Amino acid sequence: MRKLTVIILFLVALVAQTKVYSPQTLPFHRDNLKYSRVINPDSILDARTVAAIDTVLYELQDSTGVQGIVVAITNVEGDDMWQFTYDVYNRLGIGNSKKNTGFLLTLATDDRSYFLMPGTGLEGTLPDAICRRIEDSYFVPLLKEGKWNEAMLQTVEAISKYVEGDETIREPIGSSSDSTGTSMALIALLAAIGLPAGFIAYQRRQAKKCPQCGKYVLKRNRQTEHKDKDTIHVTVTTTCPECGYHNVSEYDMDTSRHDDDSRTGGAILGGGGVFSGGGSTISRRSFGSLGGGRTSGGGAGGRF
Amino acid sequence: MKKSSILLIGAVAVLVFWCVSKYNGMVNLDETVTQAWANVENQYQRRADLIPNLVNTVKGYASHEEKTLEGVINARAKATQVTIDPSNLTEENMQKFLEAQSAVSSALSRLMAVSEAYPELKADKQFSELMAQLEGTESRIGASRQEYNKEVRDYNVTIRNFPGNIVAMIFGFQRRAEFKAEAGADKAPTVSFE
Repeated sequence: MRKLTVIILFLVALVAQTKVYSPQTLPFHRDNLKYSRVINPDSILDARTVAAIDTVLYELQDSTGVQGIVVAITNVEGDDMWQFTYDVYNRLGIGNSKKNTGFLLTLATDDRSYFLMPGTGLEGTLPDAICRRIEDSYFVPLLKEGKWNEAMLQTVEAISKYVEGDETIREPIGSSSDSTGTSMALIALLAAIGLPAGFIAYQRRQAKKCPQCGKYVLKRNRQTEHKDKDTIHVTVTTTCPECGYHNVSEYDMDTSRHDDDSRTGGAILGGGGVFSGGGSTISRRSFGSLGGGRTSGGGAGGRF
Repeated sequence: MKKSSILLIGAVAVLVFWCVSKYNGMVNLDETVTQAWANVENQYQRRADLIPNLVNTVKGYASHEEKTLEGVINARAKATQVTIDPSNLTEENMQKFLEAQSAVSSALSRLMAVSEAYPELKADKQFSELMAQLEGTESRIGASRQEYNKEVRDYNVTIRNFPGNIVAMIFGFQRRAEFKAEAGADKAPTVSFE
């Protein structure tokens, strides 16, 4: 019985070492992709390299609008790197959905396969022959030595330099990659401000309506006098200069502090505590969401 | 008006609206399939466009491989003549088109096999660039076929599902053919020096 347990544990450990991914099982979080464009589930690339790659990809997206994603895994299900890259590209939706300027660089270290696939709109800048050339010059030699980190970083830098050299895809700085998205957001913002503001304005105008003649000219006069410690006496005199409508209403108001105040006070203090206790937050630059772009399945890849 | 006649008119109206939306949906899917086919033809055309350059480059190093070179040129010429009008996309037409393209694939494979014997050709920069382009184009052909199949499946399922199939029958929506995997490989043959 003991022997069996040992064998089972050994097999489990063995399987755990080589994780096989399909386009559907590749783990990633869309939220994470807003901050890092490197999908590295088995930690093949170290943190320093990932950060460096993200810096290059961020600069690239910032200056040209091109979205790049890097995937480093051990094994691909079915060992078909082209199919994997194509399906992952479509699943992620890389690059602006109108311009389709994105690319996906994949590496499977155990399978010893890789692929660089540009989006439909990037094929002019990054034709298949150039993809092959970049791979042969920067990627493959380092991959053959097992230097995953250097290989990936240098290749991403090469791609970035090449793409940035192409003036035709440069977007004017500050323009959004998704114009419908921002105009929708703008409309929503205006509505969020405008609707309540409009409502308030309407209420205030209605308050000026004279119940007798219907004209919006009512005047109100509010007078207060302290009756005792916690009570004040309020007198409101309403007059209409047009028709002579006259009304006086009087009431007492309680000015003592209620339990609600202590509650709100506590909440504010509590809220302050939360903020004062926090540590320094690293400002994370945001790539934003992926644009939903497509690829036509070109590019270049191979084995090393 | 009697209550029952109001209900009847309401029911008929609902039915008519449903039919209209079903019909429009099918038309949209049909159009998507046509576009997907146009893309497939487009990718095959890209491959055809690469061939003259490729033949010329090989000729520079392997001029007496005339038979193979001519084979590629002829296959390409024949394939360029077999174009399908997207509105006339029958299974028969597709078959003819694919056979012509298959002949081009075979001719290219032979050309690649022959090039193996010429190391100077393989080292030629233009040749290796053309090879990269060719491989990329073959990949794109494969991708466009996958896309086409996906759209055809969506369309076929929609026109066959009940009760939509009644609308399909009335308006004459026919099943459309998928790409069948070629014997040997699902993707177009890859050409590489491994």
